[in-house]
Amino acid sequence: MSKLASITLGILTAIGGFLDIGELVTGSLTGARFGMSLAWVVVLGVAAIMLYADMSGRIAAITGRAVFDIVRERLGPRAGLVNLVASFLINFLTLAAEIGGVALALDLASDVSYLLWVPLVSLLAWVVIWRLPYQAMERVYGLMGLALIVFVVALVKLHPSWSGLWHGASHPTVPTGEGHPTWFYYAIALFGAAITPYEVFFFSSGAIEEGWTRKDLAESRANILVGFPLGGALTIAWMALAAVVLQPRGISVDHLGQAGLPVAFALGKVGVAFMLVGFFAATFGAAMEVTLSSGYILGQYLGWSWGKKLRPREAPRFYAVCLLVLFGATGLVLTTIDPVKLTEYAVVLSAVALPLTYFPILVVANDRTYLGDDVNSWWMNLLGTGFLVVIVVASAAAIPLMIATKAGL
Amino acid sequence: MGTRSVVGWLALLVVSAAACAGPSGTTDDFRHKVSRTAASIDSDVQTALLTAQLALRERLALPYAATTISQVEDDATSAQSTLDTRQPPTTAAHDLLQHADTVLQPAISALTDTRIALRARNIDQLPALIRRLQGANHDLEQLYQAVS
Repeated sequence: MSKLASITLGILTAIGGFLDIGELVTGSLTGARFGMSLAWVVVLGVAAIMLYADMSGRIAAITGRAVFDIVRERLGPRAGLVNLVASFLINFLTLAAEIGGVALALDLASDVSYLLWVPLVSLLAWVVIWRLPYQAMERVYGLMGLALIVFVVALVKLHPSWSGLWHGASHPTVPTGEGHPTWFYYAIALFGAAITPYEVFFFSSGAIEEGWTRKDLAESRANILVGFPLGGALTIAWMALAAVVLQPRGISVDHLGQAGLPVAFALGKVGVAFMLVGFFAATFGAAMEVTLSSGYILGQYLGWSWGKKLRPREAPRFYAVCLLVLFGATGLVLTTIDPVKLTEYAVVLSAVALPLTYFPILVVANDRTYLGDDVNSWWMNLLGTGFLVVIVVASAAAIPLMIATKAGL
Repeated sequence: MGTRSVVGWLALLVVSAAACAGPSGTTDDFRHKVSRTAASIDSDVQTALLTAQLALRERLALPYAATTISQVEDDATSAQSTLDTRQPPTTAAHDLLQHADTVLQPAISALTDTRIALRARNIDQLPALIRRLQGANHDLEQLYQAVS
């Protein structure tokens, strides 16, 4: 494959793979409730994940070691353990939410209860993790996720007031009847969804799986600089659809089925079919990424052999952890806990744990012992520190706002 | 109990507390709860209305429509049950609850009948059900305005 084709494929994969259940739920929920007034949070979140994904990709490519491995070494086992426990718990909740999301998409397509789909989804996820090569897995579901471009097509087809949408996004105000605490609570949920910890761990571990070196940094940056913003644009289109169709009718989004109605309104059954394929790919792809991410961070912390490039008998503990996490998350969804509510809790609790993930990355990305002359430039540190302040504020405010608003009521 | 256990229990307590509803001490508190319930069920009715209209125009597959309406019907039933389990603190609140139930119950019945029609693929019943849902929506909005 030519270099250009490889880069294009990587970008398309990044676009399709950007969205997961967190963005799908929070994007539509906030659009229906607050219009475009929280679109700025998506922009902020995408900018933050771009910067930190670049740092973690660079760390992996230059050192040949995954971020979590170096964080443990650089900050010590105790700090690494705190990071590990927090990330592992958030991963667990996120994985359960993703499995629930896949099952809900299949429920909508078939009218067969999502609870019956859950074990099958988990089994399929395990088979894919076990059998499909890393790059094929990433690209198949990333490219299928491109079906979510139907959000943009649907929005254009609705002929909305573009100036109205832009005004709503560029002049963020709390809608009448809503309180500031609730608005900020959902702002944190959106932010948490955009920069969930598993994303950077998966990104850096994936770089090791694919054997990145310094010469792959240009391709990595192309994925980040083009793929991530376009993925963020899909989230904003999704939010706008809810703002245009659901908000005027007073429909609040508590289920994935409600979130998809604007696509049916604009494009009919064909649009819905594309959307469901996109839902499936986005959530199923994310479920596998979170499962692997759990195995990666535990394997890297404990110094086990890890990675999909190794066969199960070469990395038995890594595969065992992946299987156990998948099994446990499946059990959580089968308790009949509402997957949409679970997603809301997962993204907010993810926001609480964010500093534990992102502060160590910023520290390592400035350590010449590991990166030599490839440490962060001054402007990256300026932006990285600015985002870290936002992350810390969001983390500190998440739980008090959750209590004050009764989890966003 | 170790520090980590304490932190774990505190986290569980926080999430549980966030999901709990408080008691209704005064008529105003109760009025507020009725208002929230009316708004919540109105959202469910509006969802069913849009879903039924799309299904009637063949823009939405019936399994999708039936699943969506089934979910909002569950939500509406749960919201009404939660309200009905509250003890009205005053006679005025008691009267308000009785009035609210006369609006909420027909709305939930309309949701149930729409779900049954979609599951049975009785598309010809949808126009009449859409009119019932529109009526329920109107009544819920009036209730909401009256108590807000």
